[in-house]
Amino acid sequence: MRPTYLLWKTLRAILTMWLVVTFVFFVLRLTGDPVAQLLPDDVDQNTIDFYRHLWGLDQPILVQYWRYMVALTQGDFGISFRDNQDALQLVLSRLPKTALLGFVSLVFALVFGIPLGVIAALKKDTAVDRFVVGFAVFGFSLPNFFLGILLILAFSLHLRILPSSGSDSWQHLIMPAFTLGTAFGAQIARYTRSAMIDVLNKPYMRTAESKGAGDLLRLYRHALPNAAIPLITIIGLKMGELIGSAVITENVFAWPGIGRLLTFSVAARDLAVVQCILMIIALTMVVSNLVVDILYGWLDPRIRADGTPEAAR
Amino acid sequence: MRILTALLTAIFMAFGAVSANADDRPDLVVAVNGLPGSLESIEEMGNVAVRITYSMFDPLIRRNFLANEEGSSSELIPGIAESWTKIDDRTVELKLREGVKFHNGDEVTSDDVVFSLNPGRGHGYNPLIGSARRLMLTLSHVEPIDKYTVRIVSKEPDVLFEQRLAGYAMWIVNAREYMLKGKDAFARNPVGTGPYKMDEWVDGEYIRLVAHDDYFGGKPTAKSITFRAVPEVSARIAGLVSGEYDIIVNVPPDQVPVLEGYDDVAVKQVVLDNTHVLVFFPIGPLADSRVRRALSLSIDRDLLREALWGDKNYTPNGHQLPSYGLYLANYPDFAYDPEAARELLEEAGYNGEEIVYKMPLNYYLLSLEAAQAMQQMWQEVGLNVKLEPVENWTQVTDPNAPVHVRPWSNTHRIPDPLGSFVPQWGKASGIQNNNDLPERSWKAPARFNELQDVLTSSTSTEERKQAYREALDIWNEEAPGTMLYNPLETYAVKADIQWRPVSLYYMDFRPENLQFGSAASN
Repeated sequence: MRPTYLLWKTLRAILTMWLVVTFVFFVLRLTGDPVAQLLPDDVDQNTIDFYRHLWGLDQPILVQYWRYMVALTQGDFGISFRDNQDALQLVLSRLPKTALLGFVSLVFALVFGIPLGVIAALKKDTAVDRFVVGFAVFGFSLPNFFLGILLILAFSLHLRILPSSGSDSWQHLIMPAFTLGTAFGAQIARYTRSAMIDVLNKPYMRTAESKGAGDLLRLYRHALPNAAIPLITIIGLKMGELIGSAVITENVFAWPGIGRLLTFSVAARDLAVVQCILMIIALTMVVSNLVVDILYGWLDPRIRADGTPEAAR
Repeated sequence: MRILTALLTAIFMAFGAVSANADDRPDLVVAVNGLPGSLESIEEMGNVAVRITYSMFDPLIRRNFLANEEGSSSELIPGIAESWTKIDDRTVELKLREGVKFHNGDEVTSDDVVFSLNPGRGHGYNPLIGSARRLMLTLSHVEPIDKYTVRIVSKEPDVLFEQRLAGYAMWIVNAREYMLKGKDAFARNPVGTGPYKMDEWVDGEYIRLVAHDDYFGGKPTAKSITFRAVPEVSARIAGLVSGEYDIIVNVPPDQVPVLEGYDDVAVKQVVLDNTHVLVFFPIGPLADSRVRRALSLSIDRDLLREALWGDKNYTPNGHQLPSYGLYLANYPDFAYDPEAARELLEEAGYNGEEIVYKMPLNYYLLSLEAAQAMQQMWQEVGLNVKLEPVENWTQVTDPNAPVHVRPWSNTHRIPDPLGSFVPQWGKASGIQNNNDLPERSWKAPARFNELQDVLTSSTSTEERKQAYREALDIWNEEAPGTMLYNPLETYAVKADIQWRPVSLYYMDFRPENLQFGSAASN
């Protein structure tokens, strides 16, 4: 891997994050006054002015932006307006919960999605295939908040076997992980199916068959590795989206992760916290894309580490 | 053998004693819609904070909400102070109870009162915390007379001084702990005198308080109270029914029949000391007060309450509440008279000009539904009102975009016009001094503001009542706004818990208002 390639990727990542921070900084300030959101609706003007001054919101927006960027370069992500805590510490304290939920739902999605996609491809145009495709469409189309509430009604309200909200035990993880993993698993199943169908029709598969390779050998040795490349792309992108996509699920199940903190902070215009979370989301996306690029090269030697196919050299 | 018997007896008795002393009080779990960012008693005073801090702090004088059936009484009873005397029209002398213990074991003394109410903390020129300034501004200073006696002095004669001391922002904090920790650390781990003290705060998950068994008001009846954040209402309901929670808050009215279907759940509703109102900006077609009055006259408030709140709340008769000391019982209700509205519109020469009603979504409960219903009511008398739901207040009050009507709520923080009517609509209010766009300010008649001075400075109840009536008449005639109704706060509670809500967002878990077990369900 060329050093210039990594340098270019890093510079691009920094540029992406600067754009995100700048965009969010201005959009948040132009769409709502944090003081109006955080204080009761009947406070007097003196109180509003007090907090605007305290939080530096009485300065011109460009001055605020300059101060924020200077602080950022010094590792200061700002203070939460709501509870005076360091914004970065606050966000990092929620990260493990979101990571746990994301990891478990990802494992769930892969464990169910990949086998279902493979089976659908192998049984193409049969009832099994139609069932899997139907399930995938259903799983992908069902909104998280709806599925979550259905699960709460069934397993908490009626059967009373699972806790409805919180994160105290492994039982608390089941419904949120299922909710988050279902849509993802459905997507994985669809992508696996189409990638497998594509690979199964390739000449090298016929060659392998004519050489006498058995079904399982052809599947594991030839089909799956070749079908893995588009799958890696989608899994990488989804890993980057994990924090963002957990927002609704975390709110429905009162899961104390970053998604819930983001909803709350946006509603309250807790600017430093929102900016910090969005930087972490952007960073996750950038890093997961970088990892995918590297994995490409490892999975497919035809693709060079700088992203250009051997054939094009 | 005798020694062995004695030993066994001793062990048995020891275990027996342990068993008898074991704390068998229940742990109460309250599912709330959100947790506060601070438990400093004057820093955050929204509903998510005061429902917790009310169990951690006490005022010198307490408002006994539960003295009436509705949970809205304005009766004053001793708090940390066992008695008080008005020395003159600016000074109240309070005698503190002896032996009142803070959560850290310190005894409450006059020094704690001086510290709690000092200007540098909450109401000075540039105080440490600004959010309670408006509620403490009438305070001048506190004089410690001796260890258990203080004199609190107001800047001007104040007929409501004792009520103010019983209100928001007047809770007593432990001075030593506060100064040792600093404001931010104290806000995370506050020390007051209330029946419950801080145990654990897990950000975004829960705040757990444990019983403060030295509480001067008696031993708390729960071993602990956990306020658990559950933002989604269906999850709160499911958790209550499945037994995870004992009490849930913020139940929408449409869920009440669902909850009432469960035998082991009781629904508790209270009409809040808060009124949903509409503000009419006197610009465009609303520059004419007759159009503003027509807007008010064409609202069928009975129908709104019936359709949205199951008619379990009420509309006050004028900008007042029955709990006010100055309550004008015979003051007329807000009229619903579409015919009179039509006549006023004709007199004003209103020709169907567009009236823009902007509201922030999801801010006031059922405000969108109420707005949609009112739009139809206004349409029936010929008023052309366009609804514009927006995301936040900045968009509602944007000076560059038209707005003629907006929703608002007025909390009656003290049971007197000085607790809401004067600060919200008086000469120093944002209504008369619109900072976003001065043209939107209500140019109140000079007489209205003169009457405010009488309400503020007079010590004669009769004179104040007369001034209040006249001010209300002007307010109705001028119609810078109107009132819709007082909303309900709905709680659902396990049926074997005896607990009553009060008309502010405080949750009172003092021993006399929280009982468990079969006795509670009787």
